[in-house]
Amino acid sequence: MTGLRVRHRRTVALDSVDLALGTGVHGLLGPNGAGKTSLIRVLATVAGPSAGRVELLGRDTAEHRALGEVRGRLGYLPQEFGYYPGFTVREFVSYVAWLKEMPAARTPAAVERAVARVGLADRADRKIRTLSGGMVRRVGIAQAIVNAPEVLLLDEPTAGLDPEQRVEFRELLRELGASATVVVSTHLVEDVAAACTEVTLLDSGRVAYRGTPDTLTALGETSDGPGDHPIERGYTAALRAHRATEVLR
Amino acid sequence: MTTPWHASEDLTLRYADGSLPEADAWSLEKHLETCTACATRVSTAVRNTPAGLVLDEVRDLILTATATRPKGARGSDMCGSAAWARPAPTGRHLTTHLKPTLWSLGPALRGTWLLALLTVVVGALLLNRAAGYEATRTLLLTLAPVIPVAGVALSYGPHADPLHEITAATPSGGLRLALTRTAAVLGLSLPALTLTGAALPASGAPGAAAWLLPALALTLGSLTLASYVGCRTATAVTGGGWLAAVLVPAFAAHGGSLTARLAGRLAVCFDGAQPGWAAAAAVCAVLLAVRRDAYDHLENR
Amino acid sequence: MGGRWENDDTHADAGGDASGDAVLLRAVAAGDASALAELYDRHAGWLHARLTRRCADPEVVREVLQDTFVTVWRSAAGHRGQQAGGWLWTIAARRLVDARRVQERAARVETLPAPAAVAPSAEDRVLTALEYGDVGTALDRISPELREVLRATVVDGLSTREAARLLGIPEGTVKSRALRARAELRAALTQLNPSPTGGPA
Repeated sequence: MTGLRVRHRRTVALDSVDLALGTGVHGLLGPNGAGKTSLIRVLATVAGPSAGRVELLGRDTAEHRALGEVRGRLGYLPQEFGYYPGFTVREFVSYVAWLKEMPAARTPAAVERAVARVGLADRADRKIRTLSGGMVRRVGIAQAIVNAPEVLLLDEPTAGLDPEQRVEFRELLRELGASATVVVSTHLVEDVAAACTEVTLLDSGRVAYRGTPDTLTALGETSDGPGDHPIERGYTAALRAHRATEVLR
Repeated sequence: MTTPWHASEDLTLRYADGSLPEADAWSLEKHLETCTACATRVSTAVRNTPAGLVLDEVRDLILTATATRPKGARGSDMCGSAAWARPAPTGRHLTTHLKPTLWSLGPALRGTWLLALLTVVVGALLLNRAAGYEATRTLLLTLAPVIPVAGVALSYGPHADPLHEITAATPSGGLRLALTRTAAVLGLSLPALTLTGAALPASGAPGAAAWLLPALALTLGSLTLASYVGCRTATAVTGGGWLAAVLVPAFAAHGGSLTARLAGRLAVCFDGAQPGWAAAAAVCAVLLAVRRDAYDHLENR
Repeated sequence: MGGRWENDDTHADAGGDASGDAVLLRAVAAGDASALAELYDRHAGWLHARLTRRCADPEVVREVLQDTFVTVWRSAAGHRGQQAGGWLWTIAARRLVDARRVQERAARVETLPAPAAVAPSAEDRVLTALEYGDVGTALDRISPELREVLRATVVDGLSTREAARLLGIPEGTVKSRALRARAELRAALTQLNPSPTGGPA
C-alpha cells in the first residue's frame, strides 16, 4: 500500500502510511488511538482510504471486481463483532464461509477444520452466547481462517484469552504465517516477541518503527527506558525516538 | 528391486518447491514410486515448504480419525467409509447449504420488524372488525409504504446487523446482501399488507394495491440514497419524507374529518401518480446499479 | 525439524527401507495407527507435491491426499506386494480422477478398484529413456496439451477413460493426442539424436 490516508470522521487516523507486507506474521504495535484498528480495517477492505492505494494479493482494492475476488481470499477478525442470538459455533462459522462464497461441498470439512484449529471442536454445537469471552474470541478466529485465507487480519486477537490460550494461539499464528500474510494488531508486546516475524510500530497514524522482534529487542537492550523486558524497553525507546523527530519536524 | 540412481539434493529441493521442469519431474516421479529412500527425502523436503502446514493438518485429521474410528468397525461399512473422514453426511450438508441462505435474510426477519409487521396486520383487522372503525384502510395505506423501508433500515448496515463488521469484508457483503434482504422484506410485507388492505372496506380510501409501486420506489430510493449517506439516514429520509408528505397537508387542510382529508391526500399521492411512482422506481433502480460500487465501503457513509 | 532428517541413515540401504514399507503396510492392515503415521511421513510429502503439479486447487489436493491415506487405512490388507510408493500413487491418482468427477457433478465416489498392473510396452521404453537421455529436451518441444496427455497416460498410469476425466476432455481426444504426442516425441528424439539409445549417460 502506498500513501495511505484514512480519515475517521474529522480526524486523520492514518497519515501517509507506506507498507509492503509479505508472507509471515506482522505485528502491529502502538498505543491506543495510534491507528492500528484503522489500518486493519482498511486492509480488510471494510473501510476505504480517503487517499492512497491499497493493493492486496496484487490487486487494487479500489476496483470493484478485484475487491470481490480479494475478499474471498482474506480473513478478518474485527476487534469487536456480534452474532445472531441463536447461532451455534458451527452455524456461525458456516455462515461466514457462505458469505465468503466457499463451495458448499467443501464448507462442512473446512468449518470442522477451522473450529478444531481453535480448539473448539467439542463445543461446535454450543450456542455462542453460552461461551466465555475467550471462547467467543476463538470463534472469531475460526471464522477468519475458515477459507484458508491468504491474507489474514486480526485485530487484538489475544484480547480475552487466558495465558495458556495465548501460547496456543501464538503457535497457530506461526503456522498460519508460514503460508499466508498475517497482520496482527496487539497492545501486548510479548505477543509480538513470541509470534511475529516483523514488527510495525504505529503512533498517531504514522509508522514510528519497522523491524523485527529481534531488532526491537536490541534497541531495548541499549536503552534505559521503562519496561520489564528488553523488547518492551525497545518499544518505548522507538516510540520516544519517533515522537522526538515528529516534534522537531 | 534395486534402482540405479538416487535423487540429488538439488533435484529433491527443486521438485519439492515445484520448480523442476516437467521431464525431470516425470522421471523423478517414476523413481519415487519404487525408491522409498528418495521418497522419504522428497517428503521431508516438501514438509519444509509451505505445504508442510497442509501435510501436518491432514496428518492430524487422519490420525484423529483412525483413533476415533478403529479398524474393527470397518467390515460392515464399506459404503459409508467414503464419508468417514469427511464430516459431510447429507443431513449436515443440507444444513450448511440451506441455513446460510436463511441466515442471510438478515436481522429484520428475525427480530422486531417481523413483530411490527404482524402488529400492523393484526391491529388493522382488529380495529376494523372488532372496533368497527371504517377508515382503517386509509390508516393502513398511510403506514404501509413505510414498513418495507423500515425493514431495509433494520436489515443492513453497521447499526442493524451485528455481523456487519465481518460481513463487510466478504465478497457477498455488499449490495448483494442488501438486495437479498430487501427482497425478503418486500416478499413478506407486500403480500401481507395488500391482502390485509383488501380485507378492509374501501370507504373512500384508494385501492388495496395502490401502495405497491410507491413502496417499491421508496425502498429502491432508500437503497440508492444509502449509497451516499448510509442505510439509517437514507431510510429515515425516505420513510420520514413519505409520512410528512401525507400527514402534514392532511393536518393542515380544513374541512371534513381527519381521515377523510387523509384519504383525499392518499388519493392525490396514489391514484393519479402511479406512472410517476413507476418512473421513480425505475430511475432509482438504474441509479442503484450505477452506485453499486459504493456498497463496497458503505460503512464510511 | 531435526528429527525428520533421521531417515537419512536409511538412504544407504534402499532395499531394506522398501521392505520396511511392506512391514508398515502389514501393520497398517492389522490396525496399527502409528504405522500409518510412519507411512504418511515417508510418502505424504511427495504425493502432495505430485498432486499439486496435476491439480491447481490446493483444497482438492488436500482432500485427495486425505482420502488416499484413509483408503490405505481401510484397504491396506488388499496390498499385494507391489512397491508401496507405486501403490500409493495409484490410489492417489484414482482419487484425483474421482475428485474431478465429483467436481463435475457427474457421479458418486466409487470404491477403489484393484490397481491395474501396467503392461510393459512402448511407453515403458519412453520412460526408461526418460530417466536418462534427451527426452526432456524433446518433451519441451511438444505442446503442453500433448504433454498433459502423455503425463496422465504414461507417467501416471491412468486408463484413457480416467485420463479423459482428469483432463476434462473426451476419450477420443485423449487417444488422438496420445498418438500424436508419441509421434511428435519420436520425431523430436530422432531430430535430437539420430540413433537413440537407452544406455545410462
